[in-house]
Amino acid sequence: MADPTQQMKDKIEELNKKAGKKLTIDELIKSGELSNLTYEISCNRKGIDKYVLMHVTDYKPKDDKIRTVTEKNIKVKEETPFGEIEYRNRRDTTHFTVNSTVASHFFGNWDNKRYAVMSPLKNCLDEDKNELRFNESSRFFCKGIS
Amino acid sequence: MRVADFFVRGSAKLNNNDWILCPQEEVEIMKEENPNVNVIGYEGENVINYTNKFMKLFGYQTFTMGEHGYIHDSLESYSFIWQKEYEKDLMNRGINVNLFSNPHFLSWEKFIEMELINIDKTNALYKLLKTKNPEIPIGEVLKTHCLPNIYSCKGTACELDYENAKEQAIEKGVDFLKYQKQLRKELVPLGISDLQFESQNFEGSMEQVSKRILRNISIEKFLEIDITEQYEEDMVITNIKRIKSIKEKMQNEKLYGDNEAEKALEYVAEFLIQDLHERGELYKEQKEEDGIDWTNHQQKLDKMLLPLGLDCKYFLGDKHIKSEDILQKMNNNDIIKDFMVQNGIQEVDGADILSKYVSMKEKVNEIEIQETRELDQIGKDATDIAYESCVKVNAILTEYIASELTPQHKEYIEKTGKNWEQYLLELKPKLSAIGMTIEDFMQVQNKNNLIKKMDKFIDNRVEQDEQVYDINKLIETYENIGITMTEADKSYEVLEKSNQHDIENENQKIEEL
Repeated sequence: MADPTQQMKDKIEELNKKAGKKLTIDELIKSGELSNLTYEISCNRKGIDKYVLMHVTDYKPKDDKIRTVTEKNIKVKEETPFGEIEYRNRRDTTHFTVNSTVASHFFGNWDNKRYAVMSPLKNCLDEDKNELRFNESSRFFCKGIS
Repeated sequence: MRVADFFVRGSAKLNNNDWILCPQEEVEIMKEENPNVNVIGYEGENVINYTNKFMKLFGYQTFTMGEHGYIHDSLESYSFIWQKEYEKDLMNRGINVNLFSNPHFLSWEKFIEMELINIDKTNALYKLLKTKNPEIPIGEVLKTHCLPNIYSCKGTACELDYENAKEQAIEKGVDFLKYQKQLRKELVPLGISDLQFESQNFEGSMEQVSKRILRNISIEKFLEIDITEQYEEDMVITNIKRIKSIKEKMQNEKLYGDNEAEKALEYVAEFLIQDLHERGELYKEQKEEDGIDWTNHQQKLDKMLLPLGLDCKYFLGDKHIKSEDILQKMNNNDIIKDFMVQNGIQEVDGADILSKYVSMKEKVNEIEIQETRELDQIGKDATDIAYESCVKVNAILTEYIASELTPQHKEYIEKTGKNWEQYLLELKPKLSAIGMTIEDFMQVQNKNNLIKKMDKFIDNRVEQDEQVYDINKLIETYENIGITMTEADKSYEVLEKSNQHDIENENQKIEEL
């Protein structure tokens, strides 16, 4: 089967062209034009093709990159008994969930985020080195909590 | 299961197989700003209701994530089976999931993040308090305000303020007595429970901070080593050494002034990050290259060798260390001597330590690890020793030159019958060879710049291996500015020609090193 991402991309472009505008995700789904392709792709997803990474955020990706809050120099404000202090957010990691959306928990709320980034896990596979990488300098780590 | 949270250090580069879902009105600009990524819009205020649709549209199955991972109805549920498949699928593609499995909350990225935040918060609090009361001593700030606030990690077992912890526990509906017991259980091994911030000075406070930082972000946690009681004791010895090192460095840089807290804290952070990254990368590389149970191997080695002050990183790679180097290292370390005495080794002379070393060596060789390295082939090699000596010598010389080779030095040079102008002319090309100018030496207030340049010089030499050995060039340079540096017993003597009154002081400095 041809590359499913490319197939979907081509089909969406075709529908956009037909509609004369960029269709929203709801419009694409409601059109029914993608359902056959979606079904076909899902039936053919085997092995590592079955997995996708999802990242949700309030910060726009830019220059084809999801930047960390440290890189974006995001500041945190905190009330202390002596007054408000401000300091840098030092989280210099980018996080993803696999085939799911991160749930809000004690340390963070993801219910009102504006952007989502979806990346096939297969793209991170470096088979020469038997590693998962997002780019040349970084390596994935997986967390086991279930 | 190892699928709940993937993380990558730093940013994540996207490509034309990736998709961004954003508000419909931002589609065009999003595409402009991310030309190689596919973009789809949605109608609404937030993306949360669209993510699953998004994935399903592309034929992916989706699962519900709870606070602590995927939600399963039972062990037979589809999502649970799916997770097992995930591991299997990765293994089939040659990815050893276990090798890349590391909970974020135990990763060094997380610990570094937390400690940097703590340092930033300390700085911010310090500035705030200083603004309100310019006369407040730094020791007091750290003792009464910064430390208790910074290190009361809300919602975790790091709470120092028990009243606050109690309130939190009650809010969460947790049995406080049980909670308190758990807190103590977790705090005692970290050496925090007795942390009463009684130190009346900055040094004491810093030691406490350093101790906690060092204990918490130890590489052992990253490696998920099962920390035994004995191992804990061993690590304390090692960490005390590190703290001592930090303190010495801070003292050398005279960072105990009332306004120097930030520098001191930054230095601690810098030290730790550098150390952690260096060690961590080495560990990981070695682990992967060897294809062995490195954690287990390292644990056994560490347990035996860390008390001797031989840091883990000395045991990586094809390096060579001579027995006498280890001996020298041990003999020069009071902490190790104390440790030996405390462990029943009364005669802490060279011979006894050597016999202990031989015994240790035998034990290490008994470890049944295929790739165990011979002790004689591990550790720091001559290059490292030479390099460290250079660093130490440079540190002394930098300070010395900065303080001595000032306009007052002109008078001294002229008194000794030398022509100052001619002296500068001769000096210029020599200094230029190591990336410095005469002006760098001319004023005491340029000392920091001077140190930076010297550091850069050292760094450059590290980058270019062949230059590491170029100690002769350095010796020659210093020779030309009236300082003799000679090699003797793997250390260097720093003497200023014709300036005998300083010789004793310099010798003392060298001995201290």
